[in-house]
Amino acid sequence: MGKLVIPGDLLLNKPVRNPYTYIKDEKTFAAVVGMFDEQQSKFMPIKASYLPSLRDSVIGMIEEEKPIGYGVNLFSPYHGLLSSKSLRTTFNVGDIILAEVFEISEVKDIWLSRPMKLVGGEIIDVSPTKISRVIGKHSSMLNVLKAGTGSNILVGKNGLIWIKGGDVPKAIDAIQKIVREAHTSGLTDRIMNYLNVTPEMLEKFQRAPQREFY
Amino acid sequence: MGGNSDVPLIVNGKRLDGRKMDELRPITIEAGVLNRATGSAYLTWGKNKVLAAVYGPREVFPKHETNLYGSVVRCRYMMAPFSTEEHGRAGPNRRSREISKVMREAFENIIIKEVYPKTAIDIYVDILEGQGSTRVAGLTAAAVALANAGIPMKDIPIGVSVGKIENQIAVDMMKEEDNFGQADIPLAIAPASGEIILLQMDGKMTREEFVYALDLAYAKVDEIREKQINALREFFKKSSAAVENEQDNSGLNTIEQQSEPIQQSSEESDAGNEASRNEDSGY
Repeated sequence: MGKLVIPGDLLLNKPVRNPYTYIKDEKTFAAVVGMFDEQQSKFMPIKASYLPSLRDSVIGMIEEEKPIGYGVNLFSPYHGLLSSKSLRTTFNVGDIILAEVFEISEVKDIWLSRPMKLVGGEIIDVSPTKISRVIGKHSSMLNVLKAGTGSNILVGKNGLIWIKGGDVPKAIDAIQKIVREAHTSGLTDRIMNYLNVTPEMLEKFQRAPQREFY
Repeated sequence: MGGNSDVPLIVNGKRLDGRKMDELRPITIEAGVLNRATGSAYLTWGKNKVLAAVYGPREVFPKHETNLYGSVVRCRYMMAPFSTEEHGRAGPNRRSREISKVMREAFENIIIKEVYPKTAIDIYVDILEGQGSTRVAGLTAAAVALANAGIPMKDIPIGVSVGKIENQIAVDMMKEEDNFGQADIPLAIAPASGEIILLQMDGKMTREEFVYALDLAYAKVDEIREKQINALREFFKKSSAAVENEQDNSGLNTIEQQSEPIQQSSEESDAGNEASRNEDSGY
């Protein structure tokens, strides 16, 4: 699936805007090391820092209390802000939360909303570019992970994954395997093999709509 | 520098280490050698040993240096006290500050700064052993480290030095040639566009000699670039094939060993499954 490209390699003969590519002379070039799929003209960077976009769910740590709310460490170049105006609860410094990005200002202040405190569990961090693979198409991969390990898994788009309950070491193993093999195809099936998940086990996840934190 | 020297630099038509005039010293590059850095590279270029690390994009400290429209690129070039024949003093000096500055300016032309506004990208280049042309060696290593860190940039620049020894133009100056030669030009080139992003010159050359020296440098671009690309490719292979290696060690998980090597066949089955799953779920 795709070939490895390095910065400066030609991707497309037409201009396409993407944070990981640049345009010169009406052509698109790669700006980072990544995998490029020529058939689908899809470019996936191997490593990149998290760039916030609206309605991302992110996992972060309450870092400081401010007059307007809380400062949240998102373990990415930018910090999150949680306005205490709409909050019904209070947080302590060090609390881990899952929240949604609802506003990004032009100077990249990230305003968060709908926080949910995460108690217990374990957190691992992976490259934010691999997160889409950990979730999969219509959460297919996430369902496999949940079915195979019995864990409760919440994925933040900023690269943090929270796992609680079930077989946590097995879930971590599987996620690390997904991250390493993110560039290959047929990954969902291999993870199903790896975790001994049968299609029947997935059915209940497919029927129930996945709304983890609303 | 400048005039003819008493030290012989060309013996029997060859240079002191037996190279031809247009021959580079052997180069090896390894990417991703440091775990805690965002990106890193270790380079040996002849006897030069260089470690480059990239941190960021991260918050800018001190805060007043922040650029709201792009990231701040910072670079620190440093020679270790033990890197030269005589033990030097630790810490920055006039020379290292100059090289840090020109290197930073070279990378500012290459990095796409608008992607991560309000952040800093820190580049650290440490010369562990210096035997001539360390700034171009450091730049070549830092370029690999930047690509390894996933910093958006237009190109992976390469560094190469050219110079004049005993009235002849040679590529890749070593320490003796640098000290006793007539001229020395460190160069950094962005291969995709062919632009020169760093050029300094020490000594004297005629216009014709300078043009010839540039041609000589451009002829070596592909050779160095190849090394950089291989380093990045090797790192990718290493990080994506880690599963197989672990299995080799433990000898566990027979399912994995079967499903690993066959990628083409699993692709077909995946396509089929994908389609059937999509039908089932009604997407």
